[in-house]
Amino acid sequence: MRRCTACGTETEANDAVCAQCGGSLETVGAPETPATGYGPPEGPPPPPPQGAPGSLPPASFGTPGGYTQPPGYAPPPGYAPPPGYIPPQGYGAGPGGPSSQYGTLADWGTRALGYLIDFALLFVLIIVGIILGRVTVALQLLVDLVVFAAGVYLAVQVGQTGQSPGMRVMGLKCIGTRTGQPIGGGLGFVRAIAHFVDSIICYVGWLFPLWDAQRQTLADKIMNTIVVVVPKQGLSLTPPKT
Amino acid sequence: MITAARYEVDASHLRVPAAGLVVGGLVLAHLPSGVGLPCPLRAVTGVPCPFCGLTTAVRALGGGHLSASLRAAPLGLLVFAAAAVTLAGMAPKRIRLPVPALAAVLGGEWIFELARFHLI
Repeated sequence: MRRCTACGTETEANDAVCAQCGGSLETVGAPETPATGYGPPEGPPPPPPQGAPGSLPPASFGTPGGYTQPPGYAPPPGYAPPPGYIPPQGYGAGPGGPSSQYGTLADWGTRALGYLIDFALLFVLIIVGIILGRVTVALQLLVDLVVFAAGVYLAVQVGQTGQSPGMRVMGLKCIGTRTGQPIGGGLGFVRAIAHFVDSIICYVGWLFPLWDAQRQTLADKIMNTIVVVVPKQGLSLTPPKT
Repeated sequence: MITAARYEVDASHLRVPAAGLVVGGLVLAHLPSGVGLPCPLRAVTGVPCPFCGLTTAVRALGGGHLSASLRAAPLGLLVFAAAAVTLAGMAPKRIRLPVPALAAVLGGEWIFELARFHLI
């Protein structure tokens, strides 16, 4: 729930400004902080209200999978934050690292390793292309096309299932911040293109998960995606059938 | 995520990269210049990006050449100092930076780089 500071209109929408008067919106006692890009979750239920609105951390507490607490741990009724605690904005620096309402956010190193695995798979094809290129240039071009197609296939896999082969091995899943679901094949392809932005600024965009509170690359920010930790799987080039 | 014109930084995992930055500067100072990844934007278009010059600046700091570092990229000193503070364990875990200030710093740095490459 958000309320306009100018005219008092209340809205559940994710608008940047008040739809009635254009005034700025403030969050009032709701678990979601719309300014962080979270809409109402479709997956896990929202945490129950705890005490008076605004006096308690607005999110993550009581969210399933949000914190890696010992099994059976539950905040007592009227649980209050320790002094100096900064309320998380829909995610928080819990004991297991920053988390979103959809799970623990994956750290940069794990994501980089997942990427390296995907790159290694493509690199095998690239080497084949270089070897065949020694025979004729036409064969190399053909293999280059296959490499490109394989890259597109991996990007679409990330969009459709949230995971590429490397991400399955490392236990990573890319989901939309609004839905908690994979973003779809087409948007997965667009996200791969958006990584262009990460590269052109001296590759600094790729490093953003190191310090970003949401652990997003610039491409993630553009596409409104986060990468969360999921159970690891074996290496498979195609998504496992469920 | 940009929240209410603030960009929130989670510094809890920055110690290893900070160490990499400082050690990288010290090591690069003893290697011939030109070691490092070229900026794709500058390689293709000739126009530097806002982060161009940082490798040179950090390398110069690693060798103790403060003025050379500032001539390459003034932001380098800021980044190097931030890395040192992080390594000393004195950085807060969560930092909220005002977006206008960030934009001003990066914009200023970009203008500096554009001037350094004689584009303005």
